[in-house]
Amino acid sequence: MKRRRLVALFAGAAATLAASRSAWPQATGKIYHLGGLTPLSRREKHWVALFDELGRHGFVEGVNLTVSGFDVAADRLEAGAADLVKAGVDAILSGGAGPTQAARLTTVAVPILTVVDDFVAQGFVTSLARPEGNVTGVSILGSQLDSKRQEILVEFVPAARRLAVLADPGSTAEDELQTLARAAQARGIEISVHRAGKREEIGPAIEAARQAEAINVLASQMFNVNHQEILARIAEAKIPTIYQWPEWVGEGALIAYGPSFAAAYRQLAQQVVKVLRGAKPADIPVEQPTKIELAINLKTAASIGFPVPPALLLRADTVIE
Amino acid sequence: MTVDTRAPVVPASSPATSQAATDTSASNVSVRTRRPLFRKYFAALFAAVLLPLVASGASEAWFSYRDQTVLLDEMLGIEAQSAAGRIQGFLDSIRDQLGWTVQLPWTDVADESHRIDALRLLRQVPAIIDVILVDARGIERLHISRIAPDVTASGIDRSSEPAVQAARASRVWYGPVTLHQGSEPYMQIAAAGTRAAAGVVIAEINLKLIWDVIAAIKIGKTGEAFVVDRSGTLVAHPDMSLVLRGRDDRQAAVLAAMGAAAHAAGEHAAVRTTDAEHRTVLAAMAPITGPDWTVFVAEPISEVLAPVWLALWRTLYLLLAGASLAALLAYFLARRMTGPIRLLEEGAMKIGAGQFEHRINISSGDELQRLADRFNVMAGELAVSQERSERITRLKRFLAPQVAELVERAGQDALLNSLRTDVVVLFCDLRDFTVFASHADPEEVMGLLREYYNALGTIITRYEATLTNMAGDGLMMLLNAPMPMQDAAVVGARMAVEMQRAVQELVRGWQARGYRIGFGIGLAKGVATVGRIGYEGRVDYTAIGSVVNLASRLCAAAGNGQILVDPAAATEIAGAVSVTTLGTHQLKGFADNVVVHSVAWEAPL
Repeated sequence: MKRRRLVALFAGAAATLAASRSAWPQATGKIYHLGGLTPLSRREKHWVALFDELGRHGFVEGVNLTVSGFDVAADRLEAGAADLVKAGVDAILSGGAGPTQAARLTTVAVPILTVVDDFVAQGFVTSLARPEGNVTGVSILGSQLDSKRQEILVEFVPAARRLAVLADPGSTAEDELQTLARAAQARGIEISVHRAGKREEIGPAIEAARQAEAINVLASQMFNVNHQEILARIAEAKIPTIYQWPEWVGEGALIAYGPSFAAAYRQLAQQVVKVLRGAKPADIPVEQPTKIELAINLKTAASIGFPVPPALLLRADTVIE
Repeated sequence: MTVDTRAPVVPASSPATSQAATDTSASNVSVRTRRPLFRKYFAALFAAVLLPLVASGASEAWFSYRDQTVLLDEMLGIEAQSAAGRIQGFLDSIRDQLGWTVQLPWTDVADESHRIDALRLLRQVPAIIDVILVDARGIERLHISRIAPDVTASGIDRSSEPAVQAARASRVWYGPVTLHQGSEPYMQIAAAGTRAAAGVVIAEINLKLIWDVIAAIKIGKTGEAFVVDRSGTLVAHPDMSLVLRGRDDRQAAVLAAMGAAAHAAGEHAAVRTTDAEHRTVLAAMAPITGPDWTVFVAEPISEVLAPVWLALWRTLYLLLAGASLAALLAYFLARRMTGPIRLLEEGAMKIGAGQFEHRINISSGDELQRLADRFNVMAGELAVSQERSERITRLKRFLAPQVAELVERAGQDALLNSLRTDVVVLFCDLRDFTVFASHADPEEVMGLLREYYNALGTIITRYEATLTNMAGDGLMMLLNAPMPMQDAAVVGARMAVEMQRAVQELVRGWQARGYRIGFGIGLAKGVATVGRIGYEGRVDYTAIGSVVNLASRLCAAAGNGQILVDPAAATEIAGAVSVTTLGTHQLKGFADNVVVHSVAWEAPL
């Protein structure tokens, strides 16, 4: 009887110890639900990057995470947002001004995490430090870098005197275009602006831009969605062109300058993690990318017959040979 | 006529001693013990093991708690130093890289090499968001940015800016932390070359990149390190949101308060304070001298003390285990002690109750076993003693007590075996008692007999005569059997004289009361067969032979106050008492006439 009591005592002690060790609750058993409000597929690299990052923080699809949405047609974004809200998602993932706006018009309660050019200008947040609403995310210095891209483009083709700008009126303000023109004029360069607000307008716009010696494709969500078409048409035109996203260089673009798209979505994933862990979007400051990359595709440069200046190669973070 | 009145010596030993053994059986009432030995032994042994255990455990726990907390305080201080070192290292690496751009002296013409240096700097140090190169006069020559378009030879005079002045004075200058758009923290670092001609480089640093450093600093499991500048602005924190929320954030304010508490305690001490999640934390600080920042490390007190608690629990469990072991040990030891004692108690009870064959079986090899052995020996002796006392009681039925002792001591019943031997037989009875008994009331009769026997009994005992038979008022006694006796006839005659004297004393009283009762004695000497007769449990000793009949007849013939003696006895006693011949008498059952003698007893012997 004594021995049995002793054994029970030890068992109890061991159990207490084990309990205190495992007092690190990992599995609460909750299944999180994320909805993607974007015309893009979730197989796009940047979304894959986001879910990869979520996985590294313990949110794994099929384990404790379900994902719905994505591939939402551009003309039914608001309906798509309503569907997600109805489905009771924990957060809406989005990207670009259009889809984000659609989500924001649909709900003021469900957190919206997005990658947008300028949160404050779009009215998504009151300030970067304190979003105040249900929207937060990563601000990607899109249009802010357009003039820097122009500078790099000029450095690539120092002899060029006629520059074309491919602009999405939905993303680029008129005064910005004027700033670009002024900067070009200071160097004695003439600028022609070619606007494409819809997919159908891209082809004609590029066709018109072929008159110029180089093209600056300005930051635009719409251009991003249709970047393959743009790359194909410009490859055909064989004109030196600079783009927003370094990732495109891998797909044949000549030069790109900007934050990595995938990196921005990885950064967004960190904020998604905070939301899933219970933080309010209003308390999560909008972040900016920490790294701006210059990517150059030497093969593309060779194919159009332009040597890359050494000073540019020196600055390049990614060089595809 | 002389009668010997010397009483035979009475043996000193008393039968009372052997009697005492059997009496104890009556007193074996077991007293219920209020404080059993087992409980006392158990408590004492348990305490003997447990008390030192508890004392050592408690003191060890206390000292380890004290040492551990001191150690943990020191550890946290070291963590703070190490964190400060890492952040200092981050800043130092930037400063070192800046050094490359201020090695070549400026000339009046624009030169490409400075530009290449600046571009390389941006390539090399991701944290630098823009670089301004100023020549020896303090004029801006080059401004290269990651975001804004580059500006060459702007001609802006920056010579009066603190960055330029301080860098010239002390080679390196750290600017205040500024928040871009009220959110992202930036800071300028300016560095001057070894020669004034090389000018000054002013770099704008994105402090968010310290996050990689600060997030890599692990303070325990949930502890954290954070950096605050001289104005109390949060510069770096593992939770980037706290930094990005800017200056007037509630949590940032809590951190600043924690910082202030740690600051007050000084560089080498840890303090307890409360963090933003209302946890009590242990905080320590270390300065980062360059930019005049402070690194704080904070770890929840619960986590800090976890190993201490673990150690305490371990001690407690060991104590409990020790206590259980002590209890077991005490239980078994106490049992071993008290078990034999209980056996002894039971044994004593049984022996006391008369079970002398009971043996106490203890083989503990110690004093208790010795005690048990003593008990066993005692039981054996008691058995022997009781047997003896029973035998003596039996002997006393017909032997005088001292003779019975003697027979018993001589050991043997062999004395009582049948044999033919010379004996002196003595009969006595009361005259006319039957007539009296039939008239008087029973109490009177029994009272008279009691007086009579009392008088005779002491005399018989004194003369060590063997009383073989008692029938109403008549008694038969033997001398020289079973114990041989010197001059048995003389002793018998003297005894008869004393009897007559004693009884005649009574007779006088009786006759005064009107009872016509007399007392006569007959004594004969001759060969008779003596031995035990009877059956199991009721055995008498007697003599058979004509001498017995003769004595009986003589007694019957004797009148009140007469002691009649046969010739054989008379011959032997003639010298000791005065004997007179009464002539021949015809006695019943004897063919020949017998010469009868009488012993005179009235005169003093």
